[in-house]
Amino acid sequence: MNCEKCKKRVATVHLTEIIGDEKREVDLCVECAAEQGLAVQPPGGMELLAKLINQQIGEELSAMAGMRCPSCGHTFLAFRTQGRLGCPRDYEAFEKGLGPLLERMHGSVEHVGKVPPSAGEEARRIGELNRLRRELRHAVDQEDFERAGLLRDQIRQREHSGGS
Amino acid sequence: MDLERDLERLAGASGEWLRGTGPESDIVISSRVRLARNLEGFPFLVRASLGQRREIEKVLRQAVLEALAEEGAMYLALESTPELDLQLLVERHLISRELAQGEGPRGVAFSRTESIAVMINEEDHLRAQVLGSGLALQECWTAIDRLDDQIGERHPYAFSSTLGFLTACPTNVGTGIRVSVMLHLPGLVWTKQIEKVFESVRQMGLAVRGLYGEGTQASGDFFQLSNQRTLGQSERDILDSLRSVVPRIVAYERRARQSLLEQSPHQLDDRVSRALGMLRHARTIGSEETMLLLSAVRLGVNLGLVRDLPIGRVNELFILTQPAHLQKINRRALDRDKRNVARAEFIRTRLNGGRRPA
Repeated sequence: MNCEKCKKRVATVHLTEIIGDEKREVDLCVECAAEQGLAVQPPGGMELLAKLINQQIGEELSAMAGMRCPSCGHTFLAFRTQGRLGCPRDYEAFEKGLGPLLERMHGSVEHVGKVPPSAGEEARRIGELNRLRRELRHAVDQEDFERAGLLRDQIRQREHSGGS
Repeated sequence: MDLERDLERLAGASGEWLRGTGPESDIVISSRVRLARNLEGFPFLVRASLGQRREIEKVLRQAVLEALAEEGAMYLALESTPELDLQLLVERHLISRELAQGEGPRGVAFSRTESIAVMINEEDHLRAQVLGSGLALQECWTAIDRLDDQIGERHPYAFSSTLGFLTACPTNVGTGIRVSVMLHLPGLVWTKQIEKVFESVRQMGLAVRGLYGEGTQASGDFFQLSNQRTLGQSERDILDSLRSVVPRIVAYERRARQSLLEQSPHQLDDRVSRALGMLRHARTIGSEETMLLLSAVRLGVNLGLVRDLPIGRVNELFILTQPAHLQKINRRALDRDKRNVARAEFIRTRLNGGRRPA
């Protein structure tokens, strides 16, 4: 939509005037609005900062879009457009892009549920550790320090058994 | 096995999970737990070749049928299944719309009671569900957990110790679990409190959907409540969150029904009776209207306003009056007008028993 006054620049100031019973909508560009004495904030520090951030995010995004899974050939861009991943290895290949997404979706990037029998001893140990760490955080939040102490000991014991 | 006859037999009755038994079954129609799994060593389906899809179907079909050996399971390969049969399976909640509309090698295995259904090559290689009548989340979980182990023993799943079960869509990664309950909430709808309840449910991170899950409209006062998060919470946490919310919603619904009984008994009775009258006497009726009227009748049965009509028979009608079922029952293809006539006729014969208390 172009400015009603100069008819050249894009209208970014949208005004609703009410005079008596009459309501009127006015669309102006920043310059013409300023001429009419309407207070419009000129681009200030915050706006510049936002611009810089957007630029940086833009660069990161385009780098991510180019990510390709070495195993199946699926790209991160293809995932973003279809919403489906190409193979289980994508989770590693796209870790940089998927991490924040998982965090937003699930509020976590750490599995604490079932570990299948086929996953082996090590996966079960890690699963158990994740579960205990989460319980520890919960106990600390609840200020249940006695339980937190017990959990900490259990975690140490299991961390140790993994190293030997 | 004669597929045609088997599907016709299916169309005449509902699965066991609709019998209307189990705790809180006046409000909680059914409970469901489903797991999403993928086989290790294969790409997800968007990247799988035809040969790989065929191989996945073969491996899983065998593993699933072995695991379900004692359940009298039946397997349907859906690659060349007629449209009407696919729709019948969707209406019965045995397969998703996505699987029905999919292409290539894919299938579904389900137990004789239809309480267990396993889809192969849907969004993930494997989508297994267990359905139970009423509020029966623990029973559903126990059954599916065992089935999951049995299938997983035969072929390892794609699993990472940090991210859990790896799925084609990151919304399911981790536990790959979706726990849901189907609720009948006419009291909250009629007293206009439903939005308030749903808002607080959504704040707890749970999703509210229509009768057929994702992307479907709620109809006939039925709603599906399910978890959204699958990562960072254990299966037990997720089950617990539903187990704590559902009884509260059930209590709200009971209160709403009670207030309808106390504050506007005549209007309530009138609404239920008119619905029953319409269903008993209509000569042609659409599926949307059927849902709404059945919802009122169901409420009437549960409040004792309608007698001699088993709740299971009302529950069944929600499924059996749908388009594919009507056509299977009538053994021929019917256009919309003919379906509406067939639906009215079918409902009349099934509702003969119900009468108003003297």
